[in-house]
Amino acid sequence: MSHIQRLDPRARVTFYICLTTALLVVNDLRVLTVLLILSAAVLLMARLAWARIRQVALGVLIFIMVITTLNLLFRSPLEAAQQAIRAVAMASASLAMMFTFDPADLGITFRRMGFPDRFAFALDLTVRFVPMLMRDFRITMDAQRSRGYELESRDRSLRSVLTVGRRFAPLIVPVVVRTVLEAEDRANAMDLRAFGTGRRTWLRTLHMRPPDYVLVAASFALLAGAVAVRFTLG
Amino acid sequence: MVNNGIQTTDLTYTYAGRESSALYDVSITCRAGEITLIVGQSGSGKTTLARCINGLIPHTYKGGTLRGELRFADESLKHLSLAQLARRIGTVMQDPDRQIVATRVFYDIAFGPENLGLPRDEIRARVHEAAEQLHITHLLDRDTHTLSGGELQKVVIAGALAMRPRALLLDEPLASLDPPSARDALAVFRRLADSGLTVIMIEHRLREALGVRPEHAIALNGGEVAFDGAAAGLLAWLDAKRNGHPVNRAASPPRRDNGDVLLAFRNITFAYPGARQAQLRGVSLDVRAGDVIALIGPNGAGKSTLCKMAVGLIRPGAGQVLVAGQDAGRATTAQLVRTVGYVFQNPAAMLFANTLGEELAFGPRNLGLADAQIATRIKQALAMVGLDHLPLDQSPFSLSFGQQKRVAMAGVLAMQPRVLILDEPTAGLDDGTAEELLDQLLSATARPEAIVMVTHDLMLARRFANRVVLMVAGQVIADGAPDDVLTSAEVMRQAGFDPLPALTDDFATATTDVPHSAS
Repeated sequence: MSHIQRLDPRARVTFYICLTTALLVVNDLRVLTVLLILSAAVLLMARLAWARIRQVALGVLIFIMVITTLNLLFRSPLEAAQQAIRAVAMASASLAMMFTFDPADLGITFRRMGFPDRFAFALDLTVRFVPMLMRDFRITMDAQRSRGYELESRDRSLRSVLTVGRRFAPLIVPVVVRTVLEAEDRANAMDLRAFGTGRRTWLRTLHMRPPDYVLVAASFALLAGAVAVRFTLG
Repeated sequence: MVNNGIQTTDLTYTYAGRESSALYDVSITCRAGEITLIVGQSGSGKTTLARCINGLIPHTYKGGTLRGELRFADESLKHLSLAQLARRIGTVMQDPDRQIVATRVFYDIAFGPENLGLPRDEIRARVHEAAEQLHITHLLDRDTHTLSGGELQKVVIAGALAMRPRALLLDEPLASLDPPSARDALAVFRRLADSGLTVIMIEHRLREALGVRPEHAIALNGGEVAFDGAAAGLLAWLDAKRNGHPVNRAASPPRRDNGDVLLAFRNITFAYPGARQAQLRGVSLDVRAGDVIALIGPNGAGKSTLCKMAVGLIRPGAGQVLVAGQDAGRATTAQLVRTVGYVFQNPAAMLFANTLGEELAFGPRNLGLADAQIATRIKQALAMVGLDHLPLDQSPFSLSFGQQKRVAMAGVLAMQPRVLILDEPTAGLDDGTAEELLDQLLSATARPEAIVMVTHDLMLARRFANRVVLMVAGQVIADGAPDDVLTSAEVMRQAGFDPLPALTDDFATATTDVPHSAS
C-alpha cells in the first residue's frame, strides 16, 4: 500500500479537487510549473506499475500532444505552454487518484462528505456500470460483425452527419436499449433489498487522522494561494 | 386453515393502461418447508405473480388494479411496506449480474441489512452467517466482477438470506447456469426448504427444475391456475396436454459420414492476454455437411471461443481454421460470414432497426446483395423460423423475447450461410417454445447444410443433434452419437455433468398421480 492509500479518501478527494481547481485558476507559467512538479510528485508517490497505467497514460499523452500542436499552430506559444503544463499536471494527478482509489470506498467517501445516500450509491453503481457497458458494447460489436458489418464504410462518397449516424446505429441502438431495460431490473433488485426505505447504515467506516487534517488544510491553502496568484500576477 | 406459508386468494391484477388482467383469480398455497414450483409459458403470469408476492406490485409498479388477498403465515401482506416485505420474503431474480450492487462480495451481501439501518456488528454477523449457509465464505473478499455465473448466483442468494427472510422467491434461478452450477443451486434450494423456509421457484427449465424434488407444483396459463397439485403429477398432466405429440421423436436427420468438410479446426491453441491458463489446448474438429452438432461443456470450457474463431472474431494463437477449405486466417469476418453464420445468445445484442424488414435486410445488404434478392431471402428466412406471418413494417422491439430470438436467427439465415452456429438457441425460452423453434429450423428444406448448437440443455442435445461434442478445459474429450456421449458416465463426469439415463423415454418417469385441474 502506498503512502497515498493510507490517507483518508475524503482528504484525497479534497486535495484532488483543490489541485485541479488551482491548475485551472492559475495562468502564470512559473506557478503552473510548481503545480506540475507537485502533481508529478504525487504520481510518483502513488508507485503505480507502468504496465497498469500504460494504456490510459499513452492515450492521454497523445491527446495532449495533439492539442498542444493545434495550440502552437493557431494560438500563441505561451498559450500552448500553459495548456500543455496544465494538461500534463491534471493527467498526473488524475492517474494517481484513479489508480489508488479503492472503488469500494467511493460511495462512503461522498456520503461522509455530506452527499445524500442515493447520490453516494449512484457513484458506487457507476463504477460497476462502466465495465458492464463496455462488455455489452463488445458483444454487440461482435454480433454485428457476424452480420457482415464493418465500421469502415466502403462507400466514402457520402459523408454527411446523417450517414455517419446511420453507420453507428447498429452499434449504439442495441447497447442503449439494453441498458434502459436492464436499469428496470437493477432498480427492482435494489428495491427488493429495501434500498431507500429509511436511514441506511454504511458498513464501511472512515477515520480522519492528523496527516489527513494536515492534507485538507494544505489543500485549501493551495487553492487560496492559487486564487491570490491569479489576482496579483494575472 | 392453519398455514405457515404464502397464500393467495382470488388474486387478480391488471397493469396500468391494460384492459385484460395479467392474473385472474389466482388462489394458491405455498407451504413452509416445501418447494413450490411454478411453471408456465412466457406471458402466463408467472412474473406478475412473483411481483405481487414480493411487493414490487403495487409498490414499484404503480397504477394497476390489485384485487384479492395475499397472506404470509396468516398476516396480510397488502399493507406492508417494501422494507417490511423484504425482511419476510427474499427474492432472487433471473440474471445474477443485474442484482449485484457492490464491487466486493462482502459489501454486496451486506447491502440489504445496511438498507435496514441495522447496527454494524449485526450486519457483519449476518453476512458471515449467510455466506456460511451457502459455503461461500472463501469468496467474501473477492471482487464481484471476477466471479463465475454460479458463484454470482450464490452471492445473490446470500444477499437475500442476510435479510433473514422466512420465504425465498426464485424467479428463473437456473437461467444463466451451466448444468453443474444448476445442480449445485438446486441442492442449495432444497437445503433451505428443508430448514423450514417457504421456497417458491419459478422456472421454465422444467426438466432440470424437477431435480430439486419440489413437493408442490403450479402451472399458470393465461394468468389463471391451470394445474395445482403434487409435483409428481405435473409431468403426467403436461404429457396429457400435449396429447398426440410424442415428445421424444427424433427430429434430426441421421448423420452422413461422407459429407463435405465445411468448417475445420486444426490443432487450435489459444490463451486470452494475461490469462494464466490457455482457453483452448489443441482442439481439432471437422464440421461436415449434414451435421447437427450439440457442442456441450461447462462454462469456461472454450465452446464460444472456438465458435468465434469460425467467423474470425477471435484468431487462434496456434493452429488453423479452414472455412470451406480456405484458410480463415487470411479472411476478414465480413468474408467469413458468407459461409459461417453466427447467432448470438441474446437477441438484444443485435436488434437495432425500426422495422423487421430493415433488421433482416441488414446482413444481406452488408454482403452487397441487390434489393430483389434480399426480399426473397428475408421471406425464406422468416419461414424457416416460423415468423412469416409477421408484417415487415413491425418494430422488432415490440416482439416477445422468443420472437426476438427468432428474428435474430432469421437475420443470420437471410445471409444463407452453409454452416449455422447457434449460441444457446434455447436460453430464455420455455421447453415447448424451444422445441418448436428447433423443430421448425431443422425441418426446413432450405436450412444451412450444417448446424452447431452451443448448449447447456442436454435433453435438447439428445433430441435434436446427430452428433455431440463435449469440451472440458479447452479440449474435446468426446465426439460421437448423442446417446453414446450423453449416457456415458465416465465421459460426462469429467465435465461435472450427470449422464442422461440410457432409456430415451425420459418422460416415462412421470408418475400416474391424477392431477386436479383448477381451471
